[in-house]
Amino acid sequence: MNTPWWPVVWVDILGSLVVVFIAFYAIHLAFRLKKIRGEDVFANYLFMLTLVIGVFAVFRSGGHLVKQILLAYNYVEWWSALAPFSGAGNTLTFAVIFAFSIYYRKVGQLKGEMDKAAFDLAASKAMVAVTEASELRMRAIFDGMEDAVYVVDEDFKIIFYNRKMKELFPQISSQDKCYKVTMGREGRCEECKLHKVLLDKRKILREFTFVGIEKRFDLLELPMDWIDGRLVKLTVARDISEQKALEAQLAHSQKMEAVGTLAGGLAHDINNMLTPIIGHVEMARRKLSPDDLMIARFEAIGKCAKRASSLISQVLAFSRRQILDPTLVDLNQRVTETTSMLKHLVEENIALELKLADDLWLISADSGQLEQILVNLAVNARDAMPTGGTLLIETLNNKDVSTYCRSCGERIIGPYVVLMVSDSGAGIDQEVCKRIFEPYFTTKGVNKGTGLGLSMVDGIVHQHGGHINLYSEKDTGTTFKIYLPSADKPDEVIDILGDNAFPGELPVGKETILVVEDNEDVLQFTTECLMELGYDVMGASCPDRALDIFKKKHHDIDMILTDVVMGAKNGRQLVREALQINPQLRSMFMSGYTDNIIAHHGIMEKGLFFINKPFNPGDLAVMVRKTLDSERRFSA
Amino acid sequence: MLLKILFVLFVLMCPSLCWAVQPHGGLEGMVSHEAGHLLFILGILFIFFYSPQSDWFKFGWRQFKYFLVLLLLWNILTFSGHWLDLAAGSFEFVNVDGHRVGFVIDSLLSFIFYFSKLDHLILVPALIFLVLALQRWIKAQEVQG
Repeated sequence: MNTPWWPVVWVDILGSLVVVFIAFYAIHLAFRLKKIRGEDVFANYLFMLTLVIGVFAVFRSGGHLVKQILLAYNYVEWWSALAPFSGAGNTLTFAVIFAFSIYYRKVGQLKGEMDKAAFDLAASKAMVAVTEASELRMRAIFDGMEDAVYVVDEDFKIIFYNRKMKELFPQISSQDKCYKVTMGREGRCEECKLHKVLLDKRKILREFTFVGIEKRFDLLELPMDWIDGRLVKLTVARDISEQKALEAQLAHSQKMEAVGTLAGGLAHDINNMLTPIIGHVEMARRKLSPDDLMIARFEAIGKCAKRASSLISQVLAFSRRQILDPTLVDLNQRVTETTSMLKHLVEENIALELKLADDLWLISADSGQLEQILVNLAVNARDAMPTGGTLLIETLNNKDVSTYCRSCGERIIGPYVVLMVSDSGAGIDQEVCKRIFEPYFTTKGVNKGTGLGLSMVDGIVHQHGGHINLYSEKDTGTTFKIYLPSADKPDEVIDILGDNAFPGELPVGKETILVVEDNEDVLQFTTECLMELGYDVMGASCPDRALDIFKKKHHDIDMILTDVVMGAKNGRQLVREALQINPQLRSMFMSGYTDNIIAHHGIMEKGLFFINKPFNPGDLAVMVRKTLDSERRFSA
Repeated sequence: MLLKILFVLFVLMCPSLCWAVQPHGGLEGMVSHEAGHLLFILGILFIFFYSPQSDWFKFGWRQFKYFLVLLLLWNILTFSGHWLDLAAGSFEFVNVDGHRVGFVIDSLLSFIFYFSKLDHLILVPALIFLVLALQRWIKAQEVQG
């Protein structure tokens, strides 16, 4: 088949022209791609590849065009001379393209590795960012806590700690060993729970004390998954020092309460014994002639009984069951009046200074008990300054008190009048401070102190609704700070006993008195004593019996003298029922021990006539006469 | 020692005929060119089977693949054409006034020979697909920003 040759020529010519055009355009596009994605290795590779192919295409097409022109004009020899160069040029570009293609694979591998590395890097950065964000959130939460928090890995390294932990251990830093920071050790602690917590995956709660920190902590140790996936131990340390102190304070208060109850009960029984002893001794002495030798013996018995009575009075003060006689008191005035007595108590080498507040609020207090407080504290201060010093007594108003009572643990909330007694003595160490208000606790030598002084002060202060705190610095001094509630309005002041002096002639009377007392000795003594004073006396050993007598003879009975605490029915209930029968009835109470029945927290109610056991015939005679002559009636 | 040096210099300066450079003529150029084509083919196959995996490259990959296939066919065709050039004397051409005006296709080889002279029919589309691939890559970049 004869085929025309011209298609070959024209395809070659036109194809070469088109190829040249396309090749230039492709190179132009490759430039654009490189410009847009210059950082991409593939874009650069494609640019180079396109450039080489383009060069090849242009070079080859150029050669073919020249060939066609030379052959068309019969310059065959010329083409024969040029053809090897054209062919060699093409061969060269083939080799370059091959080289590029081989390198293309390497680039592909490199690109893949770079992409993977870039991905890993990005993932790593993302992980770091997530980790940092998590840690920041966690830090914000833990820093807001008042508990110390730290996290330890399995190698005892601290990998996290919060603000409170930094406050406790300023030298702490990440990667420190926990035993080094918290216990100052070079190796793990024997009691360490780290591996137990991590292996058993359970939490442990225990009490703990860090080295160098005088506080007690509740240590909660628990396993947790850390933000990087590791199992670590989270420790939360809660300061329970204050709680422990309050618990100790409460236990101490409860112990003191128990001791007080015991002391109060004991005082009551002893007073019941002392009352007939003192009374009978006094009555017997009165029956003797002045020159009788037995008088001295009776007086000795009486003195011993009164000393026992005084001791019981102190026990009652400590046990807060002493009868108080509260009046409106200017504390400054009481302090000033007591000062003269205190000057005799303290040594000459002790300077007594007063710093009394102007316009001090009044307080409702028993003046005699206030004096007791001052005397006891002054004696205490004197003993603390054997080589001399300064005894300072201060008063001030304190409207907004906000502290805790060291003695009872209760919160002190103002307003209070504050009495402060300070010395510049040796100070008291902490262990002694804890026990200083306990009865019979003393650091003084044998026969130099009873151990009742400060417990009495504590009892009196609390019986007045007040509180007491103690501040002491070794070798600097001690301050007792007494908070007494300020009085809003004056109470009605009743002179119950009046002149307690033993009268030469006892007041007598002919009225009829019903004596109610469950202690037979006291009943007998009281009955005999009143009969000797001229009264008609009826005795009853229990309230029910007394009520029976009163119902039958209430027209004849002018007064009831009754004990307060008598088993099932107390004296107050008895009087109340008797008053319903005879509202004109006079009543008087006697007790060696008062409970809340007649005396609210030991403070006597207004308008009551009361006599403390033990009493002597003189006290009884005066008190009974006053009751009978009084216009007041006990209010039912 | 001096005598040894002088002897060496004498021997080096005496030869009357020396083939210092290998002559390259005849089929050597042809073989070299065909070897170039083979390398070209291998290069194309490398590119084809080790295509990159980046997302943006996929946009123009189909066009680039066509380019590679056409370029591979072109290489095979021209490779065959060059070998057949050696046997051109056995083919029958029609010449008029010293100019070639026709060719007698009477066998498969003569057909291949004739068609190999029309290689631009493959090369031009190949390059067009290269342009299309480049355009798509550029477009992909512009769209992605």
